[in-house]
Amino acid sequence: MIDPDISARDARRLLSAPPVVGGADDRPGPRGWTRRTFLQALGAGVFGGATIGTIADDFFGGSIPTAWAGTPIGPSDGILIVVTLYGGLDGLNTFVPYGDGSYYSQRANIAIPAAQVLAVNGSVGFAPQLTYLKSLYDAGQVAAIQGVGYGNPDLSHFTSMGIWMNGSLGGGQGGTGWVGRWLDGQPAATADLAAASLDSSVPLHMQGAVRRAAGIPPNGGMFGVDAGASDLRMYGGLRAMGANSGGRGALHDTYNATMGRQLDLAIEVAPAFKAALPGGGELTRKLTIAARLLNANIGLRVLDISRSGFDNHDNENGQLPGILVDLNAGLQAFYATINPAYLNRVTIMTVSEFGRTQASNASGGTDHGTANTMFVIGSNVKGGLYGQMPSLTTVDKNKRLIANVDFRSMYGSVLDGWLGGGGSSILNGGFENLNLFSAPPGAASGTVTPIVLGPSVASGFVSMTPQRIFDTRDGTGGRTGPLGEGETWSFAQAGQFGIPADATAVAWNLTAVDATVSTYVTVWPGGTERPTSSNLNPVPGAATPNLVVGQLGPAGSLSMFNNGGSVHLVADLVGYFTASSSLRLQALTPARLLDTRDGTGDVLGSVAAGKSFELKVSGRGGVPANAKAVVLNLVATEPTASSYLTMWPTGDPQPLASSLNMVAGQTVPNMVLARLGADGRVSIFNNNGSSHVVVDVLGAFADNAPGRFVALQPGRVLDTRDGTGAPAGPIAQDPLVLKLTGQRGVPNNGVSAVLLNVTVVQPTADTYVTVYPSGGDRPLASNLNAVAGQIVPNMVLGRLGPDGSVAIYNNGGATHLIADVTGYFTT
Amino acid sequence: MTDPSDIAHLLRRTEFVSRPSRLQQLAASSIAACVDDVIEFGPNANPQVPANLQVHDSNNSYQQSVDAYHWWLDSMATRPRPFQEKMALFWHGLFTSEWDVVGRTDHMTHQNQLYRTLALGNLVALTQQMAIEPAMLIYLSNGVNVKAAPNQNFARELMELFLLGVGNYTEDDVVAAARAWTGHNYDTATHAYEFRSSKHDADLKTFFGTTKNWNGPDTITEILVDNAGKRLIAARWITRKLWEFLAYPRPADNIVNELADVFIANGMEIKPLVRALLNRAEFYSPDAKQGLVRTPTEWAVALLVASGKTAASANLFGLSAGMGQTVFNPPNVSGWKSNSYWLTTSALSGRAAVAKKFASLMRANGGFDNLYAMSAADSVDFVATVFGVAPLSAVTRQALIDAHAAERAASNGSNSRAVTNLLVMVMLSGEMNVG
Repeated sequence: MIDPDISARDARRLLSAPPVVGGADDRPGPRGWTRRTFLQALGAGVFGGATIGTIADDFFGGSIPTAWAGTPIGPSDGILIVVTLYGGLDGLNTFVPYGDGSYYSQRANIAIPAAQVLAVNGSVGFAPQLTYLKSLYDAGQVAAIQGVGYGNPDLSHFTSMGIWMNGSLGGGQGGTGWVGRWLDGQPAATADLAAASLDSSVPLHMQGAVRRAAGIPPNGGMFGVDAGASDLRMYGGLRAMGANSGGRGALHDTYNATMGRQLDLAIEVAPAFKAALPGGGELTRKLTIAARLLNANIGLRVLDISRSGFDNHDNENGQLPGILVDLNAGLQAFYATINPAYLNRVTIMTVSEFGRTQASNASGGTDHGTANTMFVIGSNVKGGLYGQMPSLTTVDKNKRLIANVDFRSMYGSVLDGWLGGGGSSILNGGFENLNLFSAPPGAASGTVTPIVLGPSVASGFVSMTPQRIFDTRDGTGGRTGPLGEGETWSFAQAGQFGIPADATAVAWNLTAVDATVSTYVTVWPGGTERPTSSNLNPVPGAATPNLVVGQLGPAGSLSMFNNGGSVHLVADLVGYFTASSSLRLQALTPARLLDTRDGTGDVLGSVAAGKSFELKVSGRGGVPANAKAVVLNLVATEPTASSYLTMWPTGDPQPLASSLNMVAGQTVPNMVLARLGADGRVSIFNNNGSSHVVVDVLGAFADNAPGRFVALQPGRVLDTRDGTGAPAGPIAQDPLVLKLTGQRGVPNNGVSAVLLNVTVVQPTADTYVTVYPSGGDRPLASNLNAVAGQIVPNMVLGRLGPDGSVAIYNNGGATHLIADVTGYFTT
Repeated sequence: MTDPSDIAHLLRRTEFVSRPSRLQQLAASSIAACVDDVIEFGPNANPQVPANLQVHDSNNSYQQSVDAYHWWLDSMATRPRPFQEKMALFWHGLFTSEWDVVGRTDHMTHQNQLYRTLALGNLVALTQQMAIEPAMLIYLSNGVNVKAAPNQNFARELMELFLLGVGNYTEDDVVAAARAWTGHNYDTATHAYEFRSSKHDADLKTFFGTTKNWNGPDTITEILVDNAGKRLIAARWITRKLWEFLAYPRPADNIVNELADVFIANGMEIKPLVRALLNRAEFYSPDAKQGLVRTPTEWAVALLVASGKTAASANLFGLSAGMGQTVFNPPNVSGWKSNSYWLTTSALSGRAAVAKKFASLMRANGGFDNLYAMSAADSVDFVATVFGVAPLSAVTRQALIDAHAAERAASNGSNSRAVTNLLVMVMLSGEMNVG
């Protein structure tokens, strides 16, 4: 029996009003919100009896601040971000008791395989989407508090969330929330903006008896943000109306004061909304705003943010993973955005009204539960495990988990350890202090926060005529000399080479030359943690190219790492992504535009040394007539000599740059982002020997196309050598279906195509690999070409099928495959 | 001669706006005659919910909820006697149901029509019918209240929020009332109220000290008719709610008590109560005239009247959440609060978004271009009159004149933006939002 359900949105809305909690009936009502005896227990207090309807008149307590202004917080003031997860987070598929066989027997249809769990010990570990939370845990900055809940648990969203927000099981704290009561106790001079909800309403936990948190609309656009001269004069007029009493009574003046406060607040928070927000989910955006608000140092001590979608009564594995991607990306974005000076002053805490049943239901979901795992995160948090993972078999009368840590213990520990004390009076009683902190706010942390960028702002493409930005062989770009073993080199480029400062990602054709040993090269956002991914696999004696689309780091740079020996690197800049470009992607199922071996594309016969030809692209293979640039897979096959190909917009001068480098006799592929020239054409030049050329189109950039690019920290989504993303073992001729939504930063919805770096590892025969939308027919096209025994990478634009997956086909023999996702295009 | 400001106040509180046409029509009347005119709904000609919103279209139910919202706001703005809609809004905020919980267009609009039809009818009849409306049966769970598993949700709210208030019944009374209401259920096949005797608890129950086989509707009759003590409490409860809705919060006890006596003396007929209420001197006191923040709905209706636009053209449904009030979707069973409840930074930002939308609509096709030829002061007075807030307070008026003149001066002869700004500022003035 699935619990009767009410959407989390309703719960949030209901709970954003003066509260009611408590109740003997722990069975959720089928509909609506049940007010229980709690109000009576309060006596005919503020909400009872004759004063109902007027409590709000008391909100300002007769002492209306005359100015709503932020006051910078002190250097030892702790800041708390409360992340409310509405609907009931499934703690068991978030922090997984994978060592408990009962987890697998009771959740056969949704259990996370042990191999995918990011284990912290032999018993428990994080869901596979929570890579960054795991790295924070490994850095000693996450308290994972297991078994959090309360006695006689209520299974109604409303009642249970009311209890959590109120910070009481139903006595003596009516009408207020636990943060609100903390706010009541703050000095008047600093209380104005000490707490805020990033929401259109102010939920219960942020309402005190005499103060309540400010409301900041989550999408920005507060009235007062526009700062044109005429706007400012209008604000001046509105302020002037409130400069003196209108003589129309207190409400009139209070209204004007609030309007003035609203205008002040809009200006205070405007910087947080000025820059574009990252792609991805609600938590990613809100945590980014949160970091920006803190950076503005306007006096915020507690910030409340939330998202819903956790009430997964069915198809949980189609929903929760994508939401955890959002949480993980949000944490990345937060720590990548926050001023490092504030790192040791910020703590993040998750709350949710309840966990979910340990047994999954027949619909692949879980029902309303009880005890849950909550996370307290921060540089001064004493990381580790707290409480106990509840038994999955010794359960309460409702067959639900039994809590062993009172949620007020978590609140009290944060209030006393981080927010200046007062926990026992705010919570109306003492609760066990969990000692969650290793150092007080502002004190030096003994730990180092790993910085990983969150998703980039969703961006359009700007294609450029290829230009060489560095060549370590000749000092172009400032460096002469190869990268040595284990060396990291960062190359700053934002603001140079025609790349604007607000570019989110750049596209290079990167070529490795003169490798002394077989090695790999990783490219990632400069100034952040190096991911476990690779872009190039150079071998001695051959120049190996690959397209790199890299998210720029905080200083506008990309970092490169060489694993072994030494290697020269040469980069040709082919374009960049920026929010201000309207050029967006139409993802296509791969289609062949040119094959000089059979005359496809009206060019028959190999291309001789020093010769070039034109290829018509627009209007072919699904490329719209107004396309400005295309994503092509360029292949040189049967070359007679070592050479390179250059592709450029027809009509432009031929640049000094290479699109692909090949050696005699080998088939070499490379993905190219090509700007279209006159008449929607590109020109292709072969430098040496002669070679056949094959071109497949994978996507097109046009002004009215849907796909904006969101760059991600490179993340491995497939490695058949170790079972990542697919069962371990080489792939033969059965296509591999690779699920990409809900993985490594890719959200559940709104994804048209994914940018993947795919590597073929030592195939047993000469082969090619085709990547195409799952569920569709395999096209005549190839993305990778490899000779038996080689390791060959290539960038692939993988259009997703309806199931959020791509199919990967290997044409010959058996091969291992690796895929790293570096970004996605929206729908 | 009646004070024009009293008539304006009466109209603003009962008809959302003091329309110039209505002011003119009533100018020579006594207050008593004005009140009689306001509460006589004959000119509305028995209004109905549009036929397409009386049925539930499961393929289109979200759009139906949008359409119903816009239809109701337009109705508030355009009825010849808008007080009928204002009273429907009162009952909707007291005997609440939420569209998002009920989830059916037919039930929500049917309940809405009950509140319209009996807006000034008899409280006993209204309460009895409200109790078995499908919307209420779903919203407060009486639809599934059965002898084997009594559900107290409706029985509790009937006393706690709807009729009596906390402290005027015991927990045992709640238990008894819940049992009495068992079997008054919702049939999910027919989507209608159904009494199921097999699910009704026909045993003896003790409710307000009387032991018998209470049936659900009996409990309403007991409170509102038979039990004089409870009837008095209920009469005062409803009277206080109505006073706070129409006049100002926390009225003196004697006002409530005297009006409740009128209510009872008239057999719980609402119209005599309202007539008496609107004739009280306190209703025309400064406390009353300055005593309420216009709710987002009332304010938006005032903008609809002033602009002549439709709710849909201003996308009011979409903008309503930002202001904090979406009719048909109260925040919870206790409805909306008053005054400072609406004065949050987020909610005023939401009002500003609506004001900017209306300014844009009103400026289209040369609207208010006539101000270009007026002085700044005349422009301010003209716009204040359009919005029904003339005369403005001296502080507001001077601030508007100064800002408007400054904008004109800064824009080198093009007054376009100055006029748009003036419209926004008047819409966001204290006069427009409070009183």
